[in-house]
Amino acid sequence: MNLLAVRELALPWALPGASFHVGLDPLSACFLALVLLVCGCAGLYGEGYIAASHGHVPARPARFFFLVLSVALCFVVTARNALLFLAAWETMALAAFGLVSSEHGKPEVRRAGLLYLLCTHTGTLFLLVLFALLGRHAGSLEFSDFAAAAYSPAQRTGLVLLGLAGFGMKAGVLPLHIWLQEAHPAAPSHASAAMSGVVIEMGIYGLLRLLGFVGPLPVPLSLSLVALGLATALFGILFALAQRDFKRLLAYSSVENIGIVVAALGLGCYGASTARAPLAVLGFTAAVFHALNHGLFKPLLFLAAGAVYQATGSRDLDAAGGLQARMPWTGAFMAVGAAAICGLPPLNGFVGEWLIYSWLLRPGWGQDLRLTAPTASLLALVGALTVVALTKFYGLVCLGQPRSAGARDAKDPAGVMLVPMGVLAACCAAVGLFPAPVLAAAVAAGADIARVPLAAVAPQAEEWARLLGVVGLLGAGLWALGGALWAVRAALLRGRAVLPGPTWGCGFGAPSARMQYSGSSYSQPTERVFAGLLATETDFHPATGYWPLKASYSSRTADPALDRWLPALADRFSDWLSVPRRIQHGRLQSYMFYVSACLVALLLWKL
Amino acid sequence: MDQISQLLLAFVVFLSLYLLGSSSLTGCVRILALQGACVGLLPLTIHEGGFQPRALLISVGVIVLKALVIPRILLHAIREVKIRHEVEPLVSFVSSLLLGALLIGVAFVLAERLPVPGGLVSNLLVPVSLATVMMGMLMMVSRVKAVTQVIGYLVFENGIYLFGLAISYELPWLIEMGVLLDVFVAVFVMGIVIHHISREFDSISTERLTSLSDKP
Repeated sequence: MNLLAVRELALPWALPGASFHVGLDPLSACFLALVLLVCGCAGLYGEGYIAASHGHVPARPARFFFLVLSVALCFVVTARNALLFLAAWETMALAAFGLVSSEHGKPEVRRAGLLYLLCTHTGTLFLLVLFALLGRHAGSLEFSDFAAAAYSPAQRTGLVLLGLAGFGMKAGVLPLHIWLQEAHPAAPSHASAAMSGVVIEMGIYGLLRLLGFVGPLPVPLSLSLVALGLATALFGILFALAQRDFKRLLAYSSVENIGIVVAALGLGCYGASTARAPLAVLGFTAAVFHALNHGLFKPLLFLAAGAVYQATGSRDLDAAGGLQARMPWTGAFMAVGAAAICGLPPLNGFVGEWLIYSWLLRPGWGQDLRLTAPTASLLALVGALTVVALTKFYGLVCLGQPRSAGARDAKDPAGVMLVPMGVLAACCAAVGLFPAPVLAAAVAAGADIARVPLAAVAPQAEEWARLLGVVGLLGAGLWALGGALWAVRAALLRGRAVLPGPTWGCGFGAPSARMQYSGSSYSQPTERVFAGLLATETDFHPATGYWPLKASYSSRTADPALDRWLPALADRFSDWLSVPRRIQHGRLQSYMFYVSACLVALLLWKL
Repeated sequence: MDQISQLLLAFVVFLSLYLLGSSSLTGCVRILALQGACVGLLPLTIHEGGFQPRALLISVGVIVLKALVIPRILLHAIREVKIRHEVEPLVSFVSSLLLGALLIGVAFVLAERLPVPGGLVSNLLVPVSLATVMMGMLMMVSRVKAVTQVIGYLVFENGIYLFGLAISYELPWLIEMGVLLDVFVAVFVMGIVIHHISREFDSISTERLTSLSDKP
């Protein structure tokens, strides 16, 4: 654990209140490791992606912004001074904007870029206020002073709400997620991977850091955090389910994962509010662990999705299909990522969710059943819906028959793109099988945030590690069982001819690719259950008559926050502002009147 | 000397009021010229020390500019751009006059409270200068045509000049010249602007500028 000991470097900086102060504590170390791994993989993949895009992705700006983004991310997680943090934060935001707008020739990319820029700056505005308040209260802009200051419950609530607005905008918490599903599909895939893997995780990092400063929250606020997380998770996965663009689907799935992390974080806060150290540490540990997991499997999926996009030329699920046979490596990595995100046992996703469920379900820690029962059941619902959404993604892309010419001719990308995917997939599997080291780091971070000495929770941490060791062993057993079954199959089939038939053939003589499940039909039963929430617009012209000439069906699920709530809010604002707007009418005389009346009034008042 | 100063100052205020009530553009310019002459004569009489050669220099310069050159330019502009010879008020002449009277009152109240250096012959100088400034502003605010804006601006400047007189022995006269040059340039710029407005919009009414507002 020597690596996780606190290390610091502080240099003076000319700006007032600022210092070039970086440090490495367990929380920073966890996220720094993730940043370095994901940015390394995505950057390597990006080289192949840029080369294979035949000039669609401009190489120089993409490289420049990606490197700036990577460096800025390192400073975001290690900064120990508010101004240095904000500077790194803004650099990160602007570099990500540059990446999102890489293909700025397309109007939808420009729109997504501007939306992202607006959102990130709105978030930064909240952060400026947050750090200004923290700084005024603590008397300096150093993080150590923020942590040393004492806060009243009202101050804690206010600061955390501000942080939730600022960091939540980056992370994509429910009503603030609006930029995610636009920016992720617009960005080149290696950038989407870095953004969904680490940039949005920075929102979580910021929230955790803030919680470490202010100390235990009031109980209602902790419970609201849990509720907000669950709502975000449910919302994210439902809308992921309804998407046809697979990068959009993955973006919504990021919203879902952020929701789970926020829920875990809320559980940790609840433990801290009720002064139960193991619950607090376990909650924060689960949040850190799941955030790290998401930072492994989501970039993996985005990288695989990018490879599919380049091979088939479309992001439409209904244009893919049958790629497991044509792109075996990409398909296999995609399967690993999808299984991990669903929380299936031998992979890392399972470990993270296991930690959250053990918070909720393990007897003997005095959890309130009124909290745990609905939370656990909602998490289970989210988990089930994740399986539907991700099987839709993997199944439509990789299984069945190709639905377009692009998919028919698809091939695996170059090695430079496969290796990063392989590394991330291996990490997913390794963390699933040997969770102990990552767990130790996450527990150290969780104890730091909860302000509990590591020794105080050592017995519990040992128990979690032991149980997770068993989980890892079971996972290894599962792999072994799978291998054994494969060997049995191979032994049984020895000497016999295996005839491959068309998928979905079912004995029918002339199946066509159009008879397969489509994206809409696969998720239709689930969508129907949640129709009220999704509000999908459909345009259906059924076939009529004996010799129907034409029939069509199209559906579109718009994001309610971006396409309904935000315009309504903007209209309301615009109505309010129409009153002061009346003074802006372009008549020169009136402008001069304003100025002179103002001057005379000032003279009369001040003299 | 004292009486002459008082008389000139009263005349300046009276001319400003007359300007507010006048409906003819060329008439306005003539009144402006007259006001310029009055303002130009004031440095000779206003200081306790009596007549000084330097004051004569300032006086001659101001009269030449304010009473001769600038009115000529304005009259020329009115002729050249074929501006119709009547003032278009936004506020009626009667209301303008009443407002002007009100502003004179406000100016006296303000002058009472304003700390000014001593050594002046007339205690009317500061209130009159403030009143002139405010009436110039009123002129700019309440008239439509661009050329009336210029006239308003010049009245405004006369007020500033009067205020400057209160401390003219402390001011190096280079600054006085700077002020005059400022006005001169301003008139030129305004002349060009008027010319352009009339060319682009077929009118020199600044009301037409509302089409530049961002209102749909």
